[in-house]
Parts: sequence; structure tokens; C-alpha cells
Amino acid sequence: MNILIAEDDAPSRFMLQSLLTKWGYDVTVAADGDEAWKILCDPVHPLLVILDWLMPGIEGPEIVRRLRMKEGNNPHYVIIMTSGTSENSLALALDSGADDFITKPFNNSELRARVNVGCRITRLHEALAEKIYKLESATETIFELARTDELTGLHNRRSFNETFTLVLSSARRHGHPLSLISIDLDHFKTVNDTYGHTIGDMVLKEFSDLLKDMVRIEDVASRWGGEEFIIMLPNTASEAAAALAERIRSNFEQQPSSASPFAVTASFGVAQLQNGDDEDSLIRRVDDALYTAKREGRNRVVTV
Amino acid sequence: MTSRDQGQETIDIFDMDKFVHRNLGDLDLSRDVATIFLDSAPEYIKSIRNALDAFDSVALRQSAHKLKGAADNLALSSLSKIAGRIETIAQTGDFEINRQLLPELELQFDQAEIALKNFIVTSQEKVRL
Repeated sequence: MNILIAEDDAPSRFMLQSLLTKWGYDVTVAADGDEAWKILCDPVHPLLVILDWLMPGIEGPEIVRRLRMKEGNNPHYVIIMTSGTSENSLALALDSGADDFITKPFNNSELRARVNVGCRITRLHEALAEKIYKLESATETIFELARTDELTGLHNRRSFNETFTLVLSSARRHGHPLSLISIDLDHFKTVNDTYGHTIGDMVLKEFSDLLKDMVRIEDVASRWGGEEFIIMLPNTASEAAAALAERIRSNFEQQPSSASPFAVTASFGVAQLQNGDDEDSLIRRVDDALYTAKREGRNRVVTV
Repeated sequence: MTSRDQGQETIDIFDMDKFVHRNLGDLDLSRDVATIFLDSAPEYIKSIRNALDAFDSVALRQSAHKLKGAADNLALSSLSKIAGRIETIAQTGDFEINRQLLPELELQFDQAEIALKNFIVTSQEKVRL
């Protein structure tokens, strides 16, 4: 455990440093308040801090106040040291944010005991901060997983719906265009029935990878379920959406699938947000367009 | 003056047992701390004198406080006491009284210096024996 000692009196500083070193601590020393504050502003610095109350530069209690303002999950443990002339010193030291207080000249068994307490609390804080960090990253992972389609890595339906509500209300408020592309792979049941689900899954992945490559960063490409996909295109009119759909369609048709022994194609419906549309009505219209594409012979793009 | 009084007076100047105990009985460490004190303290006294000349009560209080803390740690109780008085009076802004205390402070430091130098030499002799 590393301890910072800030003490302007050289013999006291040396004595304190020697005692703490004898007790097995690593010690960093500062000869005044400014030097102590500089050390505490380093990204890596001791968390257990022994500060003299009255020092040239920034005084002990002010350093504690500044520390408390900037610290996060892993707080410092601060012991303030003073010659204790005033009866209020204890209360003042603790009010400034210090954890403990020791009067000079210190009794060394008391000093040792107080530093040991500080060390124990600092270790607990560190363990807690580590757990909080793990918990936060686990939460982030879970959040990410909850919004991702496991097979394809695209947004899942939940993620699409959440984003769709926000994007739709923003488009309506600002009068920006918004388009959807609804996609269904043609005769996909035949692929699964003939070659099995493993091959079917590989085709879905290949198609998803193609979508990821072809959409813009602001577009939301999602797997709606089964072999159905939906793309949300903010700030995009239906002509541009239809042009993108056509590029995806022709790319997919021309790229021979490495998984499937026969060519798979896809049908596309395109629709743009209109006055009076809500989430459901826009999705209904884009699905109508997709059914029209299917009915008209598949492997085509239909805009409503 | 009885011998008992003299003993008490010596202890007030420098309580060697208390000081060595404070350094966990480590004589080498005690000597090092005493040496650093003897190097630093004249500077502290100089700062006190400068602060008095400049009528700077904040600097006076700080340097007296520093000397008091150092003297306390070294178990130099007479020196600590006079430094403490100067520190307290500095807060009232009365420079005249503090100016009168300066010779007493210097005297106490001289006595502390003799005691510490004596300690540095005799404690080394003890080790050799």
C-alpha cells in the first residue's frame, strides 16, 4: 500500500516516512501543499493520504475539499495531522472531508493503528470499486446483448422498436423524411427444408453481413424475425431508400452464396413517412409493399 | 536547585527516552531525525525573525507553528513551548511581545542543539561499547 505524506517540517517528514517504511508501507512524500496536490492530480497516485493541517501552499483541509470534489468510485482515505491547538480542530478536520485525525506529536502505536485502519478501508474501497466496474461492464454487455440479434449481430426487433419511436418523433417534429425498407428472403423455407437449418443460418448471416456493409452508419438494419429484415433510414426519402434497396437486391443476387448450393434472392418493400403516420401504419405500408413485391414475382423492389 | 529539579529541566530541554521510543527504539533513525532537525531549525528561526521584521503575522504564525511541530516531535518541550507562545501571539498581531520573546527562543534552541549534539555523539559511543 502506497501512502502520501504531506508535511513541510523536514525532520517530522523524515521520521514519519521512516516509521511507515518500517511498518511495510511504500511512502511518497510532499514538502508542501502544492506539491501534494500535484501528486494527487497524477492519474496514478496513493489513495491513503496523511496531510499536515498547516502547510505552505494549499493547506490540508483545502486539499481534502478539492479531493472530495473530484473523486469517483474509489475514494481517498485522508488522515489530517495537526499540533491541535484549537479545540475545534477535530471537528474542522472531519468537516472538511477527512476520514481521521491525528495530533502531533503522535504516539506511534496510535499512528500505526490509525494508518492500519486507513489501509483496511482503502482496500475495501478498492475491492468495491473493482466490483462496481465489473458490474457496470456486465450491465453494458447485457444491455448490448438485449439489443442484438444473436445469429446475425444486427439490431433485434426490440432495439429497432426503441430506436424507431425516437427517430419517428424526431422526424415528425423537424419535418425530416424517414423511410423504411422491409425485406424477406425468397423461398427461404425451401433452403431450410432441403439443406437444413445450419445452411439456412449461414445464408441469413451472409445476407446480414451484406446489409451491414451497405447501409450508412445512421441507418438501423435489424432482423425482424425468421428471414425478415427491416432497415430504418433517417433523413432519407423513398427514392433514395428504393435505390439502396435495389443495390442490395442486385448485389445479393449476383454474389453466389458460399453456403447455399443454389442462388437465394430477396424481395423488398419501401415506404416513406407521411403525415398522420404512426409506427404501426408506416410498418403496415412497408409490409404491403413487400407483399406486392412477392406477389409480382419476388426478387424485386416495390415502393408505395 | 535540587538534582531532581535539574533532571526535570534537562528533560524539558530534550526528553531522550521519549524521542527514542517515538522512533521505535531505533537509535540510527533517532540520530538521523536529530541531524535533520539541526539542519532545518536555524532556517525556521530565521523565518520567524524575517516575519517579525516584515510585520507579516501569517508568515510568523506559520514558521512558529512549524518550529513548534518539529520541536514536539523531537521531544524538545521548552523549545516547543516558546514556539507555541509565539504562534499564539502571532494570531493577535502583537509583534512587540513576540520580538521580546525572540532571545528566549534563541536560548532554548541553543540548549536544544547542545542536548541533541550530545545525544548524537553519546548514543553512537553506546553502540560501540
